[in-house]
Amino acid sequence: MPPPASLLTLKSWRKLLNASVLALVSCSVVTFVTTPLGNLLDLVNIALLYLLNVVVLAVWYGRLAAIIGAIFGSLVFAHIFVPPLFSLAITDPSYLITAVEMLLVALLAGHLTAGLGSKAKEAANREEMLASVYALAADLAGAPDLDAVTRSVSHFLSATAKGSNHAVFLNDESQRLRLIGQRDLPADLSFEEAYLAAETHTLIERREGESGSQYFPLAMKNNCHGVIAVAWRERELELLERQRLQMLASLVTATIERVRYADLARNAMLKAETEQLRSSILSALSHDIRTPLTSVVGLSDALEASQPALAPHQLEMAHELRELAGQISSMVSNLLDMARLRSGQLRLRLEWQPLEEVIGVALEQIRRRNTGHAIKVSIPPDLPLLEFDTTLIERVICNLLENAIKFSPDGDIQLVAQEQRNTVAISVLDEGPGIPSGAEEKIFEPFVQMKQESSTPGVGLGLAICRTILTAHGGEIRASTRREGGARFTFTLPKGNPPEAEEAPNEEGAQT
Amino acid sequence: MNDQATVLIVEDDPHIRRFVGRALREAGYEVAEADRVIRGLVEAASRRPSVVILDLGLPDMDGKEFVRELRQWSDIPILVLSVRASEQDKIDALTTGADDYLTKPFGVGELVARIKALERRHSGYQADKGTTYAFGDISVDLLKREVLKAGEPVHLTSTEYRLLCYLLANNGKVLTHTQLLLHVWGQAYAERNHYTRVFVGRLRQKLEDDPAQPRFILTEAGVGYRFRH
Repeated sequence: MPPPASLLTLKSWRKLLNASVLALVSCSVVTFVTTPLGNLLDLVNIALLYLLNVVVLAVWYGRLAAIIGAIFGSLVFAHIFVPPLFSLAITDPSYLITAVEMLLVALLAGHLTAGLGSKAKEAANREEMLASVYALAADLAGAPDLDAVTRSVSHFLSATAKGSNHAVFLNDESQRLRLIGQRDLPADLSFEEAYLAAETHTLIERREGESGSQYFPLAMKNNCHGVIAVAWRERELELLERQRLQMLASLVTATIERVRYADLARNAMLKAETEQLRSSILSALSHDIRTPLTSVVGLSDALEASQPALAPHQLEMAHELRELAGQISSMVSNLLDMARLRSGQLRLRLEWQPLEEVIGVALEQIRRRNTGHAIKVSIPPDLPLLEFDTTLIERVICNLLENAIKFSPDGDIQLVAQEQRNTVAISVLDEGPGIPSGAEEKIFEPFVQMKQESSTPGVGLGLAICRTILTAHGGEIRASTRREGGARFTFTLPKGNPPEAEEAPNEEGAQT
Repeated sequence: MNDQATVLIVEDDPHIRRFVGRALREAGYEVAEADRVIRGLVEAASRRPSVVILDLGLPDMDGKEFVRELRQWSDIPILVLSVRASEQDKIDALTTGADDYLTKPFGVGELVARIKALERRHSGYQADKGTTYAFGDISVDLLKREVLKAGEPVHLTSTEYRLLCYLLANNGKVLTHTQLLLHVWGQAYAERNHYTRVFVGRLRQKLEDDPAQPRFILTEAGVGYRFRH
């Protein structure tokens, strides 16, 4: 393969040859037409005919043909028409001036005309380009999504960049460049160059002989949305074409930004609406279920205590009613806490506090339901303060104790707290049947009960909410069966850096 | 109306009004009812109740507005009803001037007991509070600044002692963390809730038989403390 330089020379030689042939032919035509009329016409009129020829050459075949035509025409004119005839020798100095003037005028006219021609051609091209870009802009302005954008771009490229290969790459959600709209990349384009253009946000140009390729990044600010690649064969890219492609790139970039922002806005609105729906359902549930439930609990409580006293079997029913209402209430609380935590609506009210306090509150809750269970509590006196949401951890302890009572109705229940290296662990131990082996993790999933056929009440949310609460606190919860029988539930809370508490300022204290 | 004390119930749910009203009548009270804040204020002004029961979730206005409004011209005890997990509402109501709260759902026995305690405390408001207290096996002598448990002197730091005195002086009343902090530590400490928790913990260690299940210095979860004997 010859090196590009000699190729170029070959091309220019061919151009020169073409122009020369044209100039020769046209001059010969003029000469043949004019010679018979040589005696009739004035010398000046003959010179003007050659000049006309130069202008025609300039208009139709460009500057090079005009120049060659001017030189050749002047020589022929001097040789054939200027006396002495058929000689280049010019005897009269005024004829010499005429010949030189003719050459100069021919050159000037040829130059101006050729310039005008190329200007007109350029203007026409520019107009055509503007029209095509305008049509593209109108097309893109109405594009509702990225697919429509890609379609417009492909359409534009195949209409305006004929004889070229092109490809559109777009970044997906994970910011990876992907080829859009076609399965395979044309052989004269490469992924590597496209990546380079996307990464550096600059136009990448590659050239190989008379072919070449361009990679236009679709970049705005610090964001690159993709790359448009075009490959040219057997010819060079004109300035105008390059401008057209650059305009295409910036139009497409702006459109992609618009489409992506519109997408973002639409998604955000959708999410906000979903969230609003969820929270209004939650608050409706919260209010609409709890209000009648308050009446049920209150009424059954009043029934049990009503005067004159009920008959023993009625009293028993009233008591059971109250117990069940309490259970429903606790389930509703679990359900709502779960929904709030899952939807991210519940903000933890984290405060540094002693563990024994929340354990005390939970025990008081359980005691109030007077189940008659003995719960053995063992808390070391020097536990550090822990940071947690007291209402939620109270719920965890209550759920674990309720579970223990449910599954170990006659056994002892223990609640043990232990300080570990980075955490404090709280365990609830019962003497029930323990955890079925293999189910140690499964029981923390929502709506899973330890015994499917069990008649023990509960929707299986208790342990799931415990896990959700502890995860939110950066803690853990595990279940296991004790070696001596019964279940052990252990949850941990991270220790962190508890703040100090100072004595109050001023005044002296009690001296005893 | 003169010999029977009146309780005003401000609550929008008719079922709750009905069973609470019935329980109160059975306990010997006159009952006035209102289903929203504005009517509640009118009733409070015309019926002169001795205790007000106020639901915090009323349709027309925030229950706290009722408390603020009523406190401008009356010191009638207010018992606030609120749902679980809205501790901040309870704290706000108590800070605005409510005297006690009850979390829904509640038993009527508990409700009536609270009403009676509020009424008793309010009528004895002007009475001499005395200088000695005795609860369980503990006695406190304010004049001698002496605390005894089972006859043995207990050493309290100045902060613990001031905290105890403040709790004793508000026997039966819920005190929020902020109220305790403002009174015992001062304005600069108003946000440091862990102070009260640490010092109440120490008081319990020194005074209660089982600090994890206290009998006298009770925890109001997420709200504060209450001394009761």
